[in-house]
Amino acid sequence: MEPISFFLFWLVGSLLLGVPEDTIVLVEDADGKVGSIVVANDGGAQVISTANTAVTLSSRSSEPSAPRQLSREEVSSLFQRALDAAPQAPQSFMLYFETGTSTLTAESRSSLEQIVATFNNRTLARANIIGHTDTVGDAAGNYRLALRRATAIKQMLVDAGLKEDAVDTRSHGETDLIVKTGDNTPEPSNRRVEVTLW
Amino acid sequence: MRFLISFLAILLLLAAHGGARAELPQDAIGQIKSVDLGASIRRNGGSTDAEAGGPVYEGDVIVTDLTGSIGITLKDGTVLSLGSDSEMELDRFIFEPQEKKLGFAAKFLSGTATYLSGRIAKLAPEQVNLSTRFSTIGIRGTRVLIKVAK
Repeated sequence: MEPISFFLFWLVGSLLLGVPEDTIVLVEDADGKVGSIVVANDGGAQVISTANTAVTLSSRSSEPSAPRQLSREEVSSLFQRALDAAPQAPQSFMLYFETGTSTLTAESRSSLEQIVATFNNRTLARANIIGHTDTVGDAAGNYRLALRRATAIKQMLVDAGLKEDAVDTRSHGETDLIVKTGDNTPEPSNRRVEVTLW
Repeated sequence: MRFLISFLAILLLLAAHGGARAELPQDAIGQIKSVDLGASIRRNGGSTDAEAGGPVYEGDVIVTDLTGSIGITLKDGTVLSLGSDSEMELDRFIFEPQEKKLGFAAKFLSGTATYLSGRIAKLAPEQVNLSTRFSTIGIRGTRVLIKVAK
């Protein structure tokens, strides 16, 4: 039950009033991951792939500066207010099902509690629930099964105290496999519901 | 009895408060998670005060005043914030992964901002377009070079 992190990049864009330069800084995300960005204009392009590294630009036509490492103090003096205002990154949870059913595996039943606790700790929390199946059976039936799974999870979460109108559900049927398989292949990792708190 | 009535009144208040906060229109692209002091939204030619819990829509221009800041999360998990005296336009937001329709474009017009990529950037990084006055910023996927021994 490992939350999936979609959030590889965290980038800070700046146009400081009074300073005639744009400053673009790549920083790490909450999990410590650092992505990669390309800063480009009519004068050229620069790639940044290390944390706390900045490129500055003084016009649309002049080449972007070479990447420069900033100290933590420089980053916070430029961006503290915006950094303080950044909402908590979304968190994802995977719940798994017995074949052909909307019955959770025993292990996944216990992670429901963790979802509720996390939801309650977030500010203005919302939950996005997406149901999935493996490829056993036909696509239309799997669309409905995945929707039943998502709806079953929604009901469990609402019963546990989540507000109904803070929860959205949808079905991806058999079209969004975690483990790629051929048709009619049982695969426990694909029989899942993904709950993202945001 | 009086205790029971106050208890029920508090419950009702909590329910009303919580309910109002939880609603989010279907066509909203995201939600304002926090507002500190002054922030507003320019939409359809008008300007309204930004409120925590409120929706944001495609085309909105988010503005903070000299003392304000704001935090916004979009439906694909993109996280944005603005420091004081800042302006950002949410040009485009398309998040229909089932139909493979994905896109996000934002213009950072002035001030300071943070951007944390969401699912659109993970699924279709080439469809994410961030720009400032002098630059466009491309979000690149992870690149791997592999050499297999003979």
